[in-house]
Order: sequence, then structure tokens, then C-alpha cells
Amino acid sequence: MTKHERSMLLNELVEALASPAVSDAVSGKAAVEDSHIEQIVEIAELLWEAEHGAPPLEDDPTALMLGLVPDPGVAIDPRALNRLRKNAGLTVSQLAERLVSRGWDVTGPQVFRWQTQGAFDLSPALLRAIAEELGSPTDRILSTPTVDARPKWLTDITNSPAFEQLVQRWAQLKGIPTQLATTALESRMLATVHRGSRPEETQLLQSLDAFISALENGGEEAP
Amino acid sequence: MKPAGPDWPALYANHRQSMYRVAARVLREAGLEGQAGDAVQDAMISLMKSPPTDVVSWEAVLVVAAKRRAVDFLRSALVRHAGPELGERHDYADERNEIGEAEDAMDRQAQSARAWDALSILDPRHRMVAQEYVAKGRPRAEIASELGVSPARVSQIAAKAIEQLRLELMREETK
Repeated sequence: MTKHERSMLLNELVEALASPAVSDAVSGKAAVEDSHIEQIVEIAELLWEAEHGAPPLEDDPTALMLGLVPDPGVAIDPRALNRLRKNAGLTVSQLAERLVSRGWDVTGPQVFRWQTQGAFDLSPALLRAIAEELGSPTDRILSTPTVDARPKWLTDITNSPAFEQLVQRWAQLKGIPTQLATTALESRMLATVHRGSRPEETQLLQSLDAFISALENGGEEAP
Repeated sequence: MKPAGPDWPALYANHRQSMYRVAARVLREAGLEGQAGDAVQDAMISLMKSPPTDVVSWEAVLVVAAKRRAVDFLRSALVRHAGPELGERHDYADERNEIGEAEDAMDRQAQSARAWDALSILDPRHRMVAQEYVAKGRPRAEIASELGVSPARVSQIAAKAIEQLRLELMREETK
């Protein structure tokens, strides 16, 4: 909706409000005062703003960039988590508190569930935070899925030497393990495909290359 | 092993809604609200490159960064469209203090949330029009067609819905 269309909408609202059919039925007043109109416009604006929040995580490029989109192909290893937590001298509650102090919305019962049942719904960023609190490389708290549910085009790309080089560059740039770098770049490609028709594999790799190069060179432009 | 700076993903997860809303609100002036995501991403990248120190409220930092980047986008768009002369109202981002800006933005978020919550008092028909026509900005004719009424009737329904919301919000304030 353009600014002009928005103005028209607000005018229509005010006109409709001024009509006896609406004003009599609601407020019992035929006349609409300026302050009343301002309040009406303000509420319309507030509703518009409420509707224009962030998109779902998987459609949010910044969330993808930061590793906030869970990858169902990456799971936490319950036994490794339990062992590393004990080695770190932390209780379940203490680990949860440490994550909360970093800003994560985590509870003790959740941590308990992770180490009894595992979890496939944790984002790469949260997995990294857990590992950091345990003083462990992230790779050590991850389990490898037995079935690769990824689409073939994705596995073809991720098995290519070009993708491997991109992963190494991304891992170095962000200071993260290669497994998480792989996940982040895969998520990025999946989001690209999710938003439109799937480009050629070469195009996807070139797009990733351009994105990483921009950040390596200190550029601030969004990819 | 632990990072020296803030946990950026956690901060972003907590405050991305506020960042998007404030950016969309600024950019709407030029019909650029669809670029809110770009402004938010640019804001995060800038913050991560040069993290601020002595932070009192990270929410304030993130919200203000998104707002200022959106203002930058808006300036660029207006300059492209109308030349370098911009009105004074586009200079406010540099003139006001960060905390004040953040408080304004967060107060706005709270008001917006209250207005949205108040939709629950409306009957389904009025709620649908308020959400689809007023909040999402879908074409009036489209909604009229879906409801089987005239476009003018859609405006009447919307006006009545908002009036009911106004009264409800006034009631809440006086409680």
C-alpha cells in the first residue's frame, strides 16, 4: 500500500465514521470532532504497525544470517550434552540460567528434555551458545542424522568442492565450526529457493560467493 | 571459548519484531515498507562490526539502529526521487538522544500490541475488515467482494470497528 492509498483509506474511514449510520450506532454522536478523528487515525496506524512485524524466521534474511533457523538435519546429542554438562560442573538449571543470561529463552525443563530425548528444533546459533557455555566445540554436542532428508539438488551442491570452499570461508569469517557454517549456508540456499523459483546450481553458488565476498571485504550492503 | 561480546543471535531473536516494526513505520512514508528487512539486516551487520560499549539497554540499541538505518534508506529514496532538499522532519534521527528514541519506539510497540489485542472484542466480520483492510491494507474492493457488500460498506464496517477499538482502549486506560 502506497502512502497515497493509505491516505485514501484513512479518509474513507473518517468519512464513514462521520456518517450517521456509523456514528449514531457506536457513539450516539453525529458530529465527529478533530480529536476524535486523530484517535481513529492513530488506531488505524497502530493496527498497521502491529501487522508489519518480522516475517517467520525462515523468511527473515537476518535470522538466516545469524543461524536462528533450526535445521532438522542437525540434532543435539543427548548423551554428549549430559556428559559435557557434568564435565563443566553445571547442573541442568545452571546451564539454563547461563543461556538465559545471554538472552536465550530457555528453561531448566527444556535442557532436561534435550539431554533425555535430544532435540531437532534447536537453531545453529543456540547450539553454538550451548557449546560455548560447556566449553566445548559445537561439533561435539551434535549427533549426525542417520537419514539424509535433504533434496537431491541440495546434496549435489553441498557435495561439490566449490561449496566446501565457501563453507571454509564462512566458518573463518564467522568464527564457527564448519558443520554450523554448512548448515547456515544450506539454510540460506533453501530460503532463496523457498522465496522463488530455484535458480541453477551455479547461480546459487555464485550468489553465496558474492554474499561472502561482500562481508569479507567489509561491505555493508545486504546481499 | 565464550564470545567476548554480546550474543547477537539471541539479541536479534528477542527484538527483531520491534526492529521490523520501527523500520516499516519509517519506510512507509515512501511506500518502502517492503525494504524493512534490508534496513534491519544492515543495522545488525553494522552493530556486529562495531559493537557499542556501556550498553544500558540492548533493545534500545537495536531498535534505534533499525530506525536510523530505515531513515537512511528513506533519505536515499527521497533524494533519488526529489533531489537533495529534504524536509526538517527527516533529520530527527541525529538530533534526539538514543534512549529517548528507543523509549518512544518501545512505547509505540506497546500501544500497537494493545490495539491488536483489543481486536478480540470485535465480532468476526468487523475483526476481519479491521485486520485485512486497515492493518494489512488489502484493496477495499477485494474485501467487499469476499463479504458480498459494497466497497463503501467495507469502509463503514472498518470505521465502526475502529470506533469500537477506540472506546475499548479508552476504557482500558481509565481502569
